Amino acid sequence: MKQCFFTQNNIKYVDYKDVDILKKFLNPHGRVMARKRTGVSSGHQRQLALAVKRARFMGMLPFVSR
Amino acid sequence: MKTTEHKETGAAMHVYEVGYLIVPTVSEDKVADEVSAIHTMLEGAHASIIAEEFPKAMPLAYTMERTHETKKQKFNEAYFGWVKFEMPVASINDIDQSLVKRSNILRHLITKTVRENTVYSTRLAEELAEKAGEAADAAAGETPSEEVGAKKEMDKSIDALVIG
Repeated sequence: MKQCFFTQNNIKYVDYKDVDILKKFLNPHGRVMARKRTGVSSGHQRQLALAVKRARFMGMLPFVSR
Repeated sequence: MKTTEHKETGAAMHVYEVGYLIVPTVSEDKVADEVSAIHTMLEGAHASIIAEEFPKAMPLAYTMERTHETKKQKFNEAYFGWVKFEMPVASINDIDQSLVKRSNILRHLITKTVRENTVYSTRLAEELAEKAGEAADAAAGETPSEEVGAKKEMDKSIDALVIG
């Protein structure tokens, strides 16, 4: 069973400016990967989705790619 | 993300963060003027600044468009900066409105956040630096303990001399 990346690294709040971390959880099309694949806890997955949406709005991440 | 009360006025306070994109048409030496304008805006709204990052030029992940004075503009790069501050909940809307009015700001995002550093990459660097500092202190600490040992031996020998 996979461990939550954010819990392991003691990350309480997922920040939209942490683009390198957010990119780990995107597929080649720029979509957020499912919890089933990432193993992230439900709370952190919700924070992750919000952070990705904020980063997209600020032009740090693409809405779609490829 | 708790709301606190102001010590004097009793107004509800919250920690916010404003991330902003400055248009690339602004020259690099004029970026500081935009930042100082944001600072004065915040100070006017009784905000206390906690942390900030000076705007840096970055490529955008997609082309952003806006209509400015009836002309359509397209941008593929911008200066991104952010500022974290604590301010009364009631005045955050004014900040939002005044940021919308600034023509050199392409986009901005106001988020509720916490006082602590939330950027993991910088936090990790800080923690590593702290650990390195502690290790250096521990290494430096060995010499004083040796000194203490030498001092004790000296005391013993002095005692032996005095008693003798």
